[in-house]
Amino acid sequence: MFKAFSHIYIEESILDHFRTKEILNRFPNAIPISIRHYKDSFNRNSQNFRIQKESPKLILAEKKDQFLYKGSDFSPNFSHPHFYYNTLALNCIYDCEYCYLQGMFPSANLVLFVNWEDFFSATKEFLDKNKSLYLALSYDTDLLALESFFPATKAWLEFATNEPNLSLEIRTKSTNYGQIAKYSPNPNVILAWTISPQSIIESIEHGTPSLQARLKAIGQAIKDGWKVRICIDPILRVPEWQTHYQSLADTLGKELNMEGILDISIGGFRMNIDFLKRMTDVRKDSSILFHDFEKKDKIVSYSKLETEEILNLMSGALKKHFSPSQIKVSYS
Amino acid sequence: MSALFFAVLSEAKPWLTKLEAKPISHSGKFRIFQKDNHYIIISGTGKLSMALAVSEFAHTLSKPERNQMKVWNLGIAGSGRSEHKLGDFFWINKISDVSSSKDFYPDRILNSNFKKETNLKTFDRPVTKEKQRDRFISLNSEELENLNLVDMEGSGFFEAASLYFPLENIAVGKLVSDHLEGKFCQAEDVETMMAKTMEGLFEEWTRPLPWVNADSIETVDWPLVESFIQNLRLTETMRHDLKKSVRFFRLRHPNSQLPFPEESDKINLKSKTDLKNYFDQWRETLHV
Repeated sequence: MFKAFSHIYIEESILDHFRTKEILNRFPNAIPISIRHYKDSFNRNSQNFRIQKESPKLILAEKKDQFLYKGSDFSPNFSHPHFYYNTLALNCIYDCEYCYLQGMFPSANLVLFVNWEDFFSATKEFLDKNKSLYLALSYDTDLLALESFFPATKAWLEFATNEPNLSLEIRTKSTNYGQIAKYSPNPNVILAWTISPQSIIESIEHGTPSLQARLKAIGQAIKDGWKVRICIDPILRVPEWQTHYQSLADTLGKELNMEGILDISIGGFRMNIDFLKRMTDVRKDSSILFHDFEKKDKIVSYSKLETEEILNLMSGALKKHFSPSQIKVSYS
Repeated sequence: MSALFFAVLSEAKPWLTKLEAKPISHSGKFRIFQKDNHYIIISGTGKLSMALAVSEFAHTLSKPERNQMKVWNLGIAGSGRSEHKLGDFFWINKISDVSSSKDFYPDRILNSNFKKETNLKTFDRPVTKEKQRDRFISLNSEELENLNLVDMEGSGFFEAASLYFPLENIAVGKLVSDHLEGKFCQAEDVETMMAKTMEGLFEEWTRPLPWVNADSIETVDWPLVESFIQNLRLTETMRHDLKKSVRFFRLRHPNSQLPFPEESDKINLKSKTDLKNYFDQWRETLHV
């Protein structure tokens, strides 16, 4: 679990916003600091992501524009013509060593946008114009992990019930399924869990729930009738990675109901080259970041051979338990 | 390593005595006192003087030294709040420069025995709530309403310090010296108040920053590699890649000896291609 926030920066324009007040009530010991614009704090030069991550602060802000972004090439679009994501929050309470947010954002502080209604309006407008939208809701954050003090996932599930042309993907590592369990499953919503072998969770995905706890949440969601996606992504070439990932595939086969899984998305480590450079400048203690990566078109990834090896091993191991049509390669 | 900036000597005196700091001889304008790795700098009043003092001091240090340095500004401040008592000490979490309308946000990361925090407004002249005092800026009731602490150096210190030092190394702390009555503080009173605050703060100031740790790859492994490659004429890119490979090996094998190619093979390196092959093979042995 994350530590309570010691300080909360609040944009002056939303000091009286009801959602600001609700969030502040959850952290009565935090020191509030008013700011003019979240970027005045979040985008400062020379911040150290690693040091800030030890004591992250909360920033409450109002998103003024850009309520939808086109999906990144690094992420699978699942063949949808209108694949977009939004940013209700920036940054994550977890601390995974491979996370691209460390290279993308100048600050480790967590920004929460409180004006959800503007996001809903922009989404409605897009749907009216384009008739369909596949929206990744938990992209530059883990939204469900924040649910106890930032219940945005619930609000989007409610919004989605009245928008049949909207498909949502809510990706998480959290075990906060209980927070949304009371909602009836919506066939247009995919709950996606990123999972890793337990040894990787312990050594690399700092602060995240255990594999068993995630599987329990996934199992419950399947039982309740939700569409569930499993993401084994990124697959990491750690020592004895073959054993760890094969064993993960077997555990999934044993513990999850195959019919309940929409698909299993697999992919090797890849990243924007500039993000990796920024990450390795401050995170020098993570061997996975110092792999001898292949560089191509501003992207670093495992070599073609290494990637093939990963994907072959993983899809082979998963095919023992799941149908080949369920296994999707997110990046090769 | 730590540096402490004061505007005036009366603020600094107890600290100079406690540290047993001696003035250093240098060609600059500002007074710099030193004892071991700790420095006390006196800038004179006003944000411009403070910014110049920070800049001058920063230029006496190398970048690695600056990255390890804890940099503080302590001093007296007027308070607009009647509930603030004289001598109360506050860490500053927001500084507003009144004339430039710029805001700065010192990060509060480290725990301190002093728990109180507030914001600070930096003015170009002394401030009073009284009307028409010579040399003072008079604030009306509306301006006083949201005012906590006021000083004349905070913004200059922070803006300059953040150019030279990592943000997380910088802190600003102020103690309440008056309630804006429009009088200048007596040096002896300032000294007494500062001495009281110093008792709890001195150890915090001299304690090393917890995130400044020696990197064994930089200090142990890489010097060995540098000595091995000194005659090899590697390009900068090759050196950079080699360093990353060395780091990968060390992180994966913390207790193993770093693999080096045969020293004798060096004499067979006749061409750039030979060197590249030799280099690639070495890196392969590191990525295991």
